[in-house]
Amino acid sequence: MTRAASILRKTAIVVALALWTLVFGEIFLRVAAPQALMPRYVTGTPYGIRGNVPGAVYRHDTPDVNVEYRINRQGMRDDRVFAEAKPAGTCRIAMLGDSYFVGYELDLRDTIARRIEEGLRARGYRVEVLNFAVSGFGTAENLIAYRKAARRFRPDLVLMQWQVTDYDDNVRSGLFALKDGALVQINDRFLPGVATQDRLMKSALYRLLADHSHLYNFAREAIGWRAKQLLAFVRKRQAGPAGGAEVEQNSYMISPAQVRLAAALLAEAKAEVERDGARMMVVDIPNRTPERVFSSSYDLMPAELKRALPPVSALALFRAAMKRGEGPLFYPHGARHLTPEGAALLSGETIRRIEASGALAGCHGRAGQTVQAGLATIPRTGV
Amino acid sequence: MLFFTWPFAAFFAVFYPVYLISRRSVLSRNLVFIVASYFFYGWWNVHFLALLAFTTSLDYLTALGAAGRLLDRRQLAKSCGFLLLVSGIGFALNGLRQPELLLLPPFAACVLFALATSLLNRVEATQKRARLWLQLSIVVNLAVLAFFKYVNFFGESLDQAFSALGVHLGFVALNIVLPLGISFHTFQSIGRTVDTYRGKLEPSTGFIEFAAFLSYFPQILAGPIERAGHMLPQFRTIPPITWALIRSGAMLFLWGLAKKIVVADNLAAMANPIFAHPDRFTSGELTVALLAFTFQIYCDFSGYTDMARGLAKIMGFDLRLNFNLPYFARTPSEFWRRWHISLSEWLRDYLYISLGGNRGSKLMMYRNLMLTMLLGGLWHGAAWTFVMWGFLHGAVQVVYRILGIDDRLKRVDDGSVRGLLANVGAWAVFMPIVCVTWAYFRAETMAQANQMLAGIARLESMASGAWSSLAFYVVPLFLIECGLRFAPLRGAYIRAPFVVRYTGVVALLFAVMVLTSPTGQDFIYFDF
Repeated sequence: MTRAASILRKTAIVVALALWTLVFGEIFLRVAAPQALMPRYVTGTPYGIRGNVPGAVYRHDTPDVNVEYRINRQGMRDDRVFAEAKPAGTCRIAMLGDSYFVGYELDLRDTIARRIEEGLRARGYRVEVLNFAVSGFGTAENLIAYRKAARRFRPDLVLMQWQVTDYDDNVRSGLFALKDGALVQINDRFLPGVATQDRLMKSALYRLLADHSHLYNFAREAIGWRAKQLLAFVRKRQAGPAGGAEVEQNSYMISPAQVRLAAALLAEAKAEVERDGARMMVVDIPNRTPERVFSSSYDLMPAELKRALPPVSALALFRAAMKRGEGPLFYPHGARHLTPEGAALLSGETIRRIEASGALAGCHGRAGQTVQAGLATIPRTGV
Repeated sequence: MLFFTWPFAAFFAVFYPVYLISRRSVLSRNLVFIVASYFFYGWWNVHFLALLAFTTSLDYLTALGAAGRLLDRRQLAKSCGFLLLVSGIGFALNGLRQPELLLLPPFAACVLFALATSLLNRVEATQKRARLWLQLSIVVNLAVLAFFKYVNFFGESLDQAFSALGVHLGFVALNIVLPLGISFHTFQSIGRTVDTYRGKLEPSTGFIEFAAFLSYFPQILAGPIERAGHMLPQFRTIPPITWALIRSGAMLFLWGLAKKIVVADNLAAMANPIFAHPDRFTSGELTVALLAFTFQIYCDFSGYTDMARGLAKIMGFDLRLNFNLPYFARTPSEFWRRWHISLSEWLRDYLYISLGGNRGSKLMMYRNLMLTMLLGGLWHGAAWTFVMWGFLHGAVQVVYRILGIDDRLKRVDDGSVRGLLANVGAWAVFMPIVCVTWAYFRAETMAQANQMLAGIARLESMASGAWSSLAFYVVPLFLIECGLRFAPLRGAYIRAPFVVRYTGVVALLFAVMVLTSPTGQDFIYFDF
């Protein structure tokens, strides 16, 4: 055998083994550890942060659920398109958050946004809920999304999601920092991996892998998770001293500096929303670990912020439901988001708090009339 | 520094090339071992570097003395020099803080060594002198072990016992950190001194090789408890390293890793919540939890051992087999020949035989068995649950001896159907007994173990529980372990086409990557 033929043969063997490894890996995962197939249809927005791909239709297939997502042309998870001008007599709620508010692993009818809207309408409110949530967002991106996307729809109430990952997300994005105690925007762009993702999404093969390959989804989640952790670690160090001992919550190490940044972002968001004549509420997603216990990462916030922005917390309801042995409130597999039962509890508590606050009192009428009126204002133009 | 963490991967990536270069001479290789092993041990806590050096220095001297030799100043200087050097490094790494803990005791130890050498060298009768050195080794080593491991246990137990009589001792539990692996390296060290005393081993005057042996990082934290007769010769030569050895070591490491982070940790996630609240679960769930722990502890400990043996192989060293399909045992004596073999043999050779072993009356033999198992239980941890575990194993051994089960099985084990049925029957009787003993081993309290077993005995809703999850981990474990241990299966794998063997390795790698438990656990035996 000539030298060239030998090299060719060895190369062919290596390539064949590599291919076999991938094929075997796919088979192994499908048999032994089916993965949650959760492709992320996010892209860059003109205002420098991520947004849902307008008009995207995709599915998430996990061991627990198979859910279809339809993103409207405004980048919201909704089957409607909203006019910028608010319909007369109708109140608007803008929802800002991450995958929990997007409604990952939930059918559209089960999402928190849709439940709040329907719940309030059933109670006689003329209301529209506009969902600006994007998977992976922290408070910093929520604030920018409010400024650049939600504000022009003139919401009467802003519901901003809070959960433990926000402490890391706010540092990782590097959009804001505290300088001499004041919140300063230090960057206007945070588009992690978006350029690569946009390029890849043009390939039909990539979309096929993203939508259907267990091996690809496993690798993406594993690499993405480590990359996120590394970026958070680096940015935390760059942000300066932690300012005290770190606290562990849900396997996140949270420093006092992260708490101060998060509190400043929420306070700023509240101030801006109120300057626009609206109100803001924070909806706290309970920590799901340790299993069956539940806790709140919002507890770490300074007392003055908790007084100014008391969170909508369903912690007591979650604990009571667990005690009663009611079904799981978070899915056990996949990305372990809220189940319809969990979303129902959180939505119910949010509705209760909205009613108690009187924030939408001006849009309250008799139930039958208002629901009809409310529906009439929504142009059903599809996505 | 756990074997399956990134810090260890980085450590080994730096260590191994240096180790390969250092193999030009035995001395440089052993020095590299000592530096690496103390770094490995100190990564956990620099405070205890001096303790390891103390055991090394003490037993270097006592082994020489126990062999009947007169110690000279050079040997004393080696011991004290090493102890003070390591203590000084520990003190420096601790930011020059706590000299009363990190410097004073080593100085005091050196004074003790000098005093002991001076006094015992004056004893003219060789046998008497050797015995005194042996006693010094045993007393000091066990005192150190007792201080770190048992002070609180015995103090609290005495306090409770006297409280029942109306006498309050006012014992206050000390805040003592248990040094990792202390039970393992203390036993290893004592074993060497006893061997030299018994004339089974010629003590070496080479301090470096002994220090390298005692601190050898693959096995310092959880064994196997090596015999000096098996390991020390390896520290006196440069064993060859071949690709076959590296491949086989890497495979052993990978299999150990899979047993630990895939099987043991996932089974722990099934067992832990049920052991924490046995009153909340059905008999079926409790049974699954007990079985899950039964396999968890096997995979946790044998996984560690396999990783240690694999690493040693990659270095050209041979660590002894510590587990040999223990859950295939049909009788208690067979179980102890297969489970934690290095400890069982240690207890047999240094405790059971020292107590009289099989010599003397049957009653004495049973007493020796019970005492050995009770102390073996206590070795695992300072708690009455471990004492109970040891007691049960001792009691079962005594009953089996009285009934002569082993002899009966030997007589019928002729390859016939009758023999097969007898073996299966014996296994089916003995395995549940093993599982019951694990309930005490795992439980936090005696009451918890009793509650667990009482719950199982109710035999209600036996179908409930995560039986399929248990089978998901245990069945492949069973098949692979059989394949590894039984020569025909192993041979068939070795002779299989390359693509089959390659796929086997890839499957194991995917299992490690994909099935790793999200809730990692420390090695159970690190607590001992």
